[in-house]
Amino acid sequence: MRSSSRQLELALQVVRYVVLGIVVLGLGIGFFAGAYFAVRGGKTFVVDFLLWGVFLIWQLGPVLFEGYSPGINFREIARYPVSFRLYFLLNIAYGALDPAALAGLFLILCIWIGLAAVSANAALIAAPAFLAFALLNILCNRLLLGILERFQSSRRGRETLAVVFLLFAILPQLFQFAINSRMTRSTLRFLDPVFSAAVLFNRILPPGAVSQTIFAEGWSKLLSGMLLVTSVVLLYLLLAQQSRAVYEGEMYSESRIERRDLKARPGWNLPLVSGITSAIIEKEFRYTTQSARFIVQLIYPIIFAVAVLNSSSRVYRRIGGSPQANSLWMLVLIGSLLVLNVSNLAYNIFGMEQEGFGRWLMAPLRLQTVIFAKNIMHGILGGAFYFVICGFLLALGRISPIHALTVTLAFMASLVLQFSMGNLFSVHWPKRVELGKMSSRMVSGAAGLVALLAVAPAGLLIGLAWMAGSYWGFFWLPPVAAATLLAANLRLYFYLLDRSSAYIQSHIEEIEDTLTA
Amino acid sequence: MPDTVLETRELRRIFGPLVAVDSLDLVVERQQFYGFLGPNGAGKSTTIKMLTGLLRPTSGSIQILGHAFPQGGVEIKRRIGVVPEGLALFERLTGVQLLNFVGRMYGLDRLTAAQRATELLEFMDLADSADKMVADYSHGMKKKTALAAAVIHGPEILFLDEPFEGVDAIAATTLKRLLQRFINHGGTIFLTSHVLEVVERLCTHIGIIQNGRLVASGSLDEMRAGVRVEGHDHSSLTLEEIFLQVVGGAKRDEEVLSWL
Repeated sequence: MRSSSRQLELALQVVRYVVLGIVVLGLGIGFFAGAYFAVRGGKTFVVDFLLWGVFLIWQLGPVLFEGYSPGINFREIARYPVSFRLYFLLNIAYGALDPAALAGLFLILCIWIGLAAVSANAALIAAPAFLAFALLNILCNRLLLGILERFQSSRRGRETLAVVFLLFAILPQLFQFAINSRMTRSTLRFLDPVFSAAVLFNRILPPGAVSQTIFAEGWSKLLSGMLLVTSVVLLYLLLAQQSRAVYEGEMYSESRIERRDLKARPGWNLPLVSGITSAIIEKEFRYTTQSARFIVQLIYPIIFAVAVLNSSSRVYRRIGGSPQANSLWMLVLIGSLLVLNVSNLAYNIFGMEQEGFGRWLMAPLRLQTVIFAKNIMHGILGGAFYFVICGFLLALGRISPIHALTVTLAFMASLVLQFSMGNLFSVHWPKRVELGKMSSRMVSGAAGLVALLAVAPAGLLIGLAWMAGSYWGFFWLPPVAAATLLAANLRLYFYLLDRSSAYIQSHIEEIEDTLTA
Repeated sequence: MPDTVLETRELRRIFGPLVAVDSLDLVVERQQFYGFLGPNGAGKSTTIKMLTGLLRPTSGSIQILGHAFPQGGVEIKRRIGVVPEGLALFERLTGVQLLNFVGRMYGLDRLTAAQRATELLEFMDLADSADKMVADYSHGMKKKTALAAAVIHGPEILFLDEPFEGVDAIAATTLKRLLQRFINHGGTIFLTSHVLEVVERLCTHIGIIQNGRLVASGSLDEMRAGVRVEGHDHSSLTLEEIFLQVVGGAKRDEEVLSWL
């Protein structure tokens, strides 16, 4: 806790807990109201949705937000002189105390209070059903985490899993854009069989079975109740079997060595830069592109931009805007998104290297060279898409050269400013990045905010120049303002580059401690 | 006339109230295999970090190959090789990418770096894993990679912090072969290790540090001559006996753990 970066992280962690607490409280009120009005209005299927919400939060929460959970490794506990019975009970009890589990229990309670407020009978039946549902969630989550641990026994497995979860987080947004922009009620009819099957499956899956146990009649109610109890027993047995294997010392093997031929190809030889700078740029390219998670994060804003622009072009057509104005808006939007996204690279330039950071200090290099080369590669990776789009729009005649020049200069000025601030941030608040952990961010918590603030003045200045240029008819004013801003930012960049390098030299131990901890 | 390649004077490093290294005067000559020993927390790693530019001394001076830190830092770094405590590897590169890159970072041209990377990977029995990420290497493989990275540019002095720790017998043999070869070709090695048998077999000179101070220094024979152990003739003293005598760490069994 000595370093300021760790104090900042702790403060942000506390803020996150408070925010999460408020979110859960809000959800609880919503779940109470949802259950209350659903049962009162006879729309009991709404309770199914609420229970699915609880189920998903409970099962996915500990995986997606592992950083919020106290990290106890039960494999380690098995080494102490505890009986299997105690070990197994501790495993289950720990599952019940996870923040996601506490949130789940709270939400179930809110639903139950909502039911009880309408129907005492329903609440009476719901009490044991909800208890069974809570137990099922605890057992299911412990089992799921045990299975994930197997995947996580190797680096490749850990990172693959992180990418899968990241894609899961992205896909619903893309689906939403696709639905909004292309689909109509009639074109969605092909999904009807899927919805019918989902309704059927819902009845035999835990949230649906709980709802059926409470609201169905006759045999249906009994069968659903039995299904729920059977699921709990089955999960209990599976978890006991899994825990027994871990307790008895089961080991997950690391990935096997694959025999390959040795291929030592000469490295890159880039024009305009020295051999060493060329080597650092190549290293940086390989380092970032050999991480699937990083690539997903790099591509995400591009997909997002395309999806947003798809919608915006329809809006422009609807309001009668010109294609040129739409193209300009597209370019500005893409540039802004990319400049913001580049903060994932620029604001923690040593984070992914971890112990490797020490290698820069041992090498006969000026740290300015290292940081500069890193910035060049990150700038290319983060900004290349802009130039592709700008080139296309120019070639198609969808944007005037003067507009393209202005936006491009402003884009580059913002990019340079991001790297200037990013370098300072990287050395003052470095953060060790764990690519196999879902909760591990690429940059420090405050970086996103600073990145946003760093871009705002550029946007404001160019916007004002644009308006003034249009008002007085000075077509040259916006590009000149953008070029001046770029020159000023470049000067600032080199000044802060020296400051950042000097800071590293005077805080080597502190930075190393953070990156290797 | 001996050629001094490393000399420290009154070297001192303080962490808050802790004096990690205190008034350290070291002299290492060319082609010496210098073993730097000491109990845990004695100041070995702190010393090696200061000697390689990874840590700033609180006071005192360091001269390496005629240059002083920090003014001559870049020149010193160009002429030394280091295997630090944490190995400092870029683990998301493959073995061959890493060595290739490190070679170029030390100013080798593209072709030489690639050629040396290939030769080193073959020498270290890492050729089969050359295209695998370093993150997926075993501890022993990482140590071999770190040593290969330390020698790829042909340094004059090697600084090795616990190179044999956690390494199996086969990997240790490979490491020893490389180090012996380095010495035979005129190199100098400064090494810290807890494996006293290895130090005894490899090192020509030894320094022992305790509580941050150098308490003994010289060749093994000089050390034997300077230490007296009851019931032993000087010539038969092992390094372990000398070490225990110097640091005074050997307690008689009956003095401790009477319940065991």
